[in-house]
Amino acid sequence: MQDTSIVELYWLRDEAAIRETQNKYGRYLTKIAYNILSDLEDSMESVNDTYLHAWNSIPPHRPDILSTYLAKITRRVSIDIYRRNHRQKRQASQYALSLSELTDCLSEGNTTETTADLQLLSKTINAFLRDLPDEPRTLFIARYFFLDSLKEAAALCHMSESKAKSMLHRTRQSLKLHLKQEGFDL
Amino acid sequence: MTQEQLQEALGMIDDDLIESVDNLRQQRDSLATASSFRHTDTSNHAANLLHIRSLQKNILKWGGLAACICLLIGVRFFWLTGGSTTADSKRDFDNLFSKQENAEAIQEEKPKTPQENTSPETLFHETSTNLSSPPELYLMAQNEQIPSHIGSYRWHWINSDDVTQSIEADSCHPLLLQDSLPVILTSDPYLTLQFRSTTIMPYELHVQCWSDRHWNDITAEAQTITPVNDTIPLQEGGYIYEITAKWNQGTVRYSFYAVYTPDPS
Repeated sequence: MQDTSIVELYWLRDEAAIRETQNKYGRYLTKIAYNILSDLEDSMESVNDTYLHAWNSIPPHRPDILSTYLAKITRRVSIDIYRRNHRQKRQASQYALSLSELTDCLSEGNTTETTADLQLLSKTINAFLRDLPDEPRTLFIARYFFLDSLKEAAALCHMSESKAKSMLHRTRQSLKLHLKQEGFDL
Repeated sequence: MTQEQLQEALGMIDDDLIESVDNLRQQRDSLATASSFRHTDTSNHAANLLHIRSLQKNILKWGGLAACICLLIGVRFFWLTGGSTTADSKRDFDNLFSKQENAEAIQEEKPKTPQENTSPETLFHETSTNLSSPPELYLMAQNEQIPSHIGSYRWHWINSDDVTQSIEADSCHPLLLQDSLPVILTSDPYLTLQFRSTTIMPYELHVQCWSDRHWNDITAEAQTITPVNDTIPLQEGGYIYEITAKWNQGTVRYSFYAVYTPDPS
């Protein structure tokens, strides 16, 4: 079924919307959740919560790209579940690994606990990503948005893991510089 | 700002940027699914039979081809080593190979020198003591192999005419290669060196490094590091390393950028 038809079902408050979403995007969302949680049961919980969030938010929203809309919800819900489950100890998931890699974008030593304006930060990151060439951008999004493993992200860009690692390192360094230039307190 | 805030902001990347990557991922996943279906669907008996037949065909085809190649190589080897093949069969092979060489000579449209005739003794065999290009250096860190950057080198070798050929290549200073040096991120305090295409270790290894605070500053003073057999100890933090390796065939400089962060545990 086309995405527009599925969104229409949500607007008509037809529960078939959830079934169709599950048929079309169930596996896709489970993979995103699993990258973060590394646990199938938690991933299923996250995906079910995603359907509920979608049901509650469409309407008023009418997403243009349903897949990315759902992916963002799954990602957020999964991170919340991850935090709830691992307040004391971090499990070796792609989320934990990506978090440790992202320290490259922050200053060494203590990170300031000041709350950054998330909207402004995401706007700056988007501008940075738009200026990147295709290859490092694809790699960066695969690794830090979809939280694909390094191996999967490298394969997506048809490059070796070591090259992908080098490219991600350079991109993180450039992002750090870009955020500093835009006045963020790193 | 914290890592988690940054990660949260990354969750708000624009839809069109995500979609472009998403399409690639879905293509990859659909290919993987198609491939897994091809191999795991056991319910369709007819399809299985077809699959088995096609496998049999492939085995026969490729197996036959491999057997022919082995036979040809074996016979040729036997002939080269002066085995018990008869003079006639030697002549047949001579004709066979000289025909091939004649065809190559016509294609190249140049006369053959006496050394280019088929005497096996004069053929150029690249060996680990006579390489026609410098060995590549791979760095092993945490079970990963990373190729280093080959910088300046001087290299000579003996070609098929017993003539010594040499090549001299110049490269930028490693501190000017910020965007092209391979990056190694590791929590291991040592890197293992692995030279490819030769089993011979250089008779001299010299390692120096610069802190990454000195990118683009070629006047910065280097620190010397003493290698231990085929490993080099890493400096904590980000450093640019240059390894100068000397063999009888020449001298080669390799470089890379390594960031060593000790494991907190």
